[in-house]
Amino acid sequence: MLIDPMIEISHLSVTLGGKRRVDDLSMTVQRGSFHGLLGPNGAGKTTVLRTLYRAQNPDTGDVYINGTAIDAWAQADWTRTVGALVQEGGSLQGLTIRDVVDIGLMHLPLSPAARAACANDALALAGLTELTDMEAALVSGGERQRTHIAQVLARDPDLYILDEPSNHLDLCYQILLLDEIRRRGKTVIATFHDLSLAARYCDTVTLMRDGKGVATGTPDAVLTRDNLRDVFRVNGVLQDGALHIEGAIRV
Amino acid sequence: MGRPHVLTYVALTLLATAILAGVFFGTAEVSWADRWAALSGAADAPRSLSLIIWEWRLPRVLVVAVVGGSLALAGVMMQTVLHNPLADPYLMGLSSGASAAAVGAILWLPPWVASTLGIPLIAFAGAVCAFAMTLGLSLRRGAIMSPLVVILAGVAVSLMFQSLTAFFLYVGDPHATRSALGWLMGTAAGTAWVDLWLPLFALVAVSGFALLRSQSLDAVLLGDERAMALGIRVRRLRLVVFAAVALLAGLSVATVGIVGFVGLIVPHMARLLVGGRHRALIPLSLVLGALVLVVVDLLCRVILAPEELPLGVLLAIFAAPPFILILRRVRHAY
Amino acid sequence: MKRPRMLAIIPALLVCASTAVAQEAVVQSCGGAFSFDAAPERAVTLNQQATEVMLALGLADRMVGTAYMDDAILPQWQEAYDSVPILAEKYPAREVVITTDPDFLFAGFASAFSDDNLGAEAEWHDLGIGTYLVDASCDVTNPKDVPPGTAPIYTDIRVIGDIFGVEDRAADLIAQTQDRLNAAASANVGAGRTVFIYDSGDETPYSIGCCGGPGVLVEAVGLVNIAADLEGRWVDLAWERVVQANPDVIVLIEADWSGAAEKRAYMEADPVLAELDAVRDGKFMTIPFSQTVLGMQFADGVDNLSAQLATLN
Repeated sequence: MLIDPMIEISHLSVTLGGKRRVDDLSMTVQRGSFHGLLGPNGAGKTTVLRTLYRAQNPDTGDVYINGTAIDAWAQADWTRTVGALVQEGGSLQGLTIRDVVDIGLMHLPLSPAARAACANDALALAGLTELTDMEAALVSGGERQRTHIAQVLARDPDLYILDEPSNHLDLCYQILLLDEIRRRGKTVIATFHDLSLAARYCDTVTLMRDGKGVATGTPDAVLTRDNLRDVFRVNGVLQDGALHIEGAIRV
Repeated sequence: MGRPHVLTYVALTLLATAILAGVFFGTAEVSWADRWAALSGAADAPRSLSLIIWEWRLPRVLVVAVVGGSLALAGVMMQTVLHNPLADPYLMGLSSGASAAAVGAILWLPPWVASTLGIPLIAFAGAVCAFAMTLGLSLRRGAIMSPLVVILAGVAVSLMFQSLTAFFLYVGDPHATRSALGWLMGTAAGTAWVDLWLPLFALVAVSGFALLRSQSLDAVLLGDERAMALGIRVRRLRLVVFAAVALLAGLSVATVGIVGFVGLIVPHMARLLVGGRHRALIPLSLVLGALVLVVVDLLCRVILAPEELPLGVLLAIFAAPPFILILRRVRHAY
Repeated sequence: MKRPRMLAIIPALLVCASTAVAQEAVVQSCGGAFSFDAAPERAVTLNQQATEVMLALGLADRMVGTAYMDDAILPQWQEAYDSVPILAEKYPAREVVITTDPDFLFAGFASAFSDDNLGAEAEWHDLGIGTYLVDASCDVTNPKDVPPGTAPIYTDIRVIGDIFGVEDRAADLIAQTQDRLNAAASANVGAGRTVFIYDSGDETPYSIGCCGGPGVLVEAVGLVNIAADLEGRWVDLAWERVVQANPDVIVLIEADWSGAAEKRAYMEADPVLAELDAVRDGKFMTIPFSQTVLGMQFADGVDNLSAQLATLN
């Protein structure tokens, strides 16, 4: 029973660049659960997240976070409650890795010393302690991704919105950081390309195709042989939390 | 934040020295005793020198300092909100609009119009007009004004007004074009106390605003979407920044003509010294911008005395080396 | 502008030109030498100064076009001027000039023969059309850093006289002009006082250096130009220098693009300039632009300036 929703999406439609990316999607995410958004490229997963963190206006539909419509949130409350990992770039001119994390913490009522301690902890988790004074624009893609994740970790919001968290990361960091996020027990909504990772971390998933929601439920219930074949065009099955692949289907 | 403070204070001291130098030195040759006497208001100071120092040099040097600081601050803000290290305050057509209006007024309008309204007001109107056009071309409902579109629109509008200016210069009376060209190259000659107050007020107001919003500006550096995810209203901030830049750059162009380099290069110099966080970047940029322009104005007055070089000429010579350095850094990042 | 090829023998040629048979002349212009077999019949003048030389020598009947006046033609030449077609307000295009079928082009400023106007003199010579640029504007014979004196006025009269075979008229005009200038020199109304020549500009004034026409004009009445030590004809002069020099009198040049009244108003409104002795005592003189040029109105300018100086005393 869905008694305590953190996210409620109701009949969401979003058109971008003349094309309908999200088509009448309805979805609920329980407080404290780790929810995955899955689907092939172009399914609309990133668009849903962008709408959630308010970078995109919906055509129709309602989106509620913690019971309040997203355009009704006051800025201070929003900053405290929501933390997003975003895929697009930024100029990062003149910023060090430490700066990137620190900028995320500025709104918190902490003394500079406390802020620095908080940032250091997050940077250590992400394995960036050696690199804190490097220029953010000059490090590798993986290190930059870890920096952004470190910022979200330092902020520890009530809702984690993660777009492709495993992108650019070595496997060990994918596991370390996602383990830590799950350990914190906050509400998480994340997109995954890697179905094994999704099976490992997600309590529930929503499967999307062409902007529509196809199935919702536990990973086992959603990633059935039929769905893998129809949506992902892959012959295989999810067994004991791991994906067993037999082959791909030609179009 | 020890280092940024120290650097800013060092720069402030240099600025104070430069201002004093700018007041002491100039095209007239005077003895040191006379200079001190005139500055301290002693009774036996030569009257003409006192007048020169108090009515001409001092307001001029202060105006130049304010313009330098304004352009540097405008440059910082433009580079931040447009995510582009090559953005400068004139990107939105401000300088070309001002030129076209000023040159057109100098060459075509009867002299009484120019003396009642004043070329500065006409130039400012031209700047605002071009700015409005760029803004109009880049705004789209529901979208957050993509930086690329803004830059392209600014380039298009600038080119349009530049060709208008070139046309005016070509068909205009050759004798009158001389003064029009002088205006285009940038000069602080002829600035008086009355020219100081409006730019100073604008600078103080915009600096206050920028410092208050340092956190938001920092967040924008992470990227538009990350800033939005952090709760910042990026589109509104961008519009306010554009308006502030239009005010600062428009007033600067109206007062001293077109002064390049400062808005583009000084923010990078400051960033190299204290990093990209605006709390430290803004004060240092203000002081460095003022310092650079005061020094260059002094050189323009003394290098070829009694002839004065336009500000643009010397600035262009100084622009090349630091610009190449910056280019090499930027190349690594991309 | 292309360098003339026979630079070294200019003086010799000028001497030759003045003693040659009236209807033939070899003339060294700034842009090259040209040999006239006969006196031209279809002359085109490209600046006011050139037009005035032709009209002063009574040669309107040999002209087919004029251009680029700076101000109004003098009354005594009005009728003759009206009898010649006006080709353009500024410089006419090359095609317009060619359609008048000219055999002689006469200019007052070097800009006439620049590439974006009529093109180099040598190009016209190749078409069989002779050219002449007034001596004062030729950078070769009168470089920008050498004071020209009044000699160029006479050179122009003499050369045109030779080309058109009116040497006697030329000699008369030279003699008259010389008399007037000598009289002014001996009267010496200026008596060594210093003068600031204000041509145009406001925030930075455009004045005259060592070697411009207006500089020669003020010298001719005995005044000393405060900027006479600066190289060049027209120079930017910082106001501080003017204040430091504290000139005795001020000459305002009156032109369509820069009136004398607005220049005077600017000086009187400025807090520092208003304190200058010359401004406080109102020692201003006004001279029209055409009278400052080393041409036919120069003597008028000298007389004009002397008269104004006398009233200031």
